[in-house]
Amino acid sequence: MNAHWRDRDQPRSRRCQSVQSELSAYVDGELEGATHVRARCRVEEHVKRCESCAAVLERWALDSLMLAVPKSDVPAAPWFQQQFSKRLAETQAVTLGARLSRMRLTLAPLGPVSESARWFVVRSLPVAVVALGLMLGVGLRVQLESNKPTPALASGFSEFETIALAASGVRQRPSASADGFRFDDVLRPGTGSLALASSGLATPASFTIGTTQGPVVTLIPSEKDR
Amino acid sequence: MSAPNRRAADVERQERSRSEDQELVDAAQTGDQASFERLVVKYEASLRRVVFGLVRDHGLAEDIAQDAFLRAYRKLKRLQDGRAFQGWLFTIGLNEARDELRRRSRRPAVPEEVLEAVPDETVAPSDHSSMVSEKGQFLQAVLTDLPKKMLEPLLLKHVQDFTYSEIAEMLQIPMGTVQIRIHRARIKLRQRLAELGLDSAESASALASPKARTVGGRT
Repeated sequence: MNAHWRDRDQPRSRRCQSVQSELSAYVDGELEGATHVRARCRVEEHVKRCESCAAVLERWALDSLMLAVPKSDVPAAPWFQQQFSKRLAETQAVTLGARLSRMRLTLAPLGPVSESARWFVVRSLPVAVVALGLMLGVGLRVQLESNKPTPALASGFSEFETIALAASGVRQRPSASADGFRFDDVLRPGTGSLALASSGLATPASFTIGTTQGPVVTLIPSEKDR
Repeated sequence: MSAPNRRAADVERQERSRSEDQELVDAAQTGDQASFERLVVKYEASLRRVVFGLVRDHGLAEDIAQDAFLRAYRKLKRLQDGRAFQGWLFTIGLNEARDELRRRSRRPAVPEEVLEAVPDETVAPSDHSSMVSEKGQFLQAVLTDLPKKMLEPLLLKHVQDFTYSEIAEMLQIPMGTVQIRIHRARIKLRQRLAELGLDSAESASALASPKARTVGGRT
């Protein structure tokens, strides 16, 4: 302890020591009221006689002023609550994202996911979503088309096969347009042969293109394949 | 109103406030975010004031108060007695403030040559309230050195002017403990002031807020 401090403020007698613990409460206004009359009088009487404790009292009172923060010193912040709500919403969104991320990574049944596998999953996720969307879109359009009175489907092909063919079976890729794939330039009604690629369907080697309405292609197997 | 009557009125007001806190905390614990936002509205100014008592920077005090409310929201389920919300919140706020000041003190100072390379207009802040005054820096340093258990009651007493009894309720410790901790905090504070060569009455007087001198009793 600093010698300077010890000389001036350290209680020099037992009497000073017993008063000093009350001195702190006295400075803080805690000895007011009838219940503390005796303690208050004891402090006040002692301070009158003891210069050392009087000096301590004065310094502690100044310290209280030094630490005080009047209400008027704190500016109003009317935006505070709104800002808090915004930050809370952001935090919750991040937390939800982190939870989903943890779920995706812990879903793998074969143990922890390597960094490369994680990268692959993350990168391929948007592609999968787009592909799924396109398939659903195509399916929906086909469904709508199927509700229309269409020319009789070519014999030998189920409606499902026709759809699958339209979506992925032809070697020559359909052109994409705002409303889906267009086959018009490729498949025109008439007779011809079209090589089918990896459709996995039991398809005839040659057929007649019946009608094309949007993505729906009607194929009529040639006579020899029936 | 006489002093005893005023005390009785204060006690009654505190009691009502604590009951309201309990209701709001109970609702917030079951997922009612609006109830927590009401607690934010109720305590944001007093929390900013307590934190300012330590950091002496209004901008920083606001940021810390925001962080403290977010932390309180996340940990709310751990609070068993909703009536103790205010003291619990102030404890979180002061912990955040102490951590932030310690982080800042550990951060390396910007080298002189880097400061010189920055154009003057980018250095001069438009809002001077965000700057910490010399007095503020000094108080930060002195107060941050105080043990946490002493700092809390000292600031609640001197910044918010809570009574020992209110502080005891808030921190859930006996009133005698509050008195002892504040007394010890004072002695520690004086020691630090003496070490820094600022233990004269004149120095302490110069550090006192001019407004605080004119405000008597509760501010």
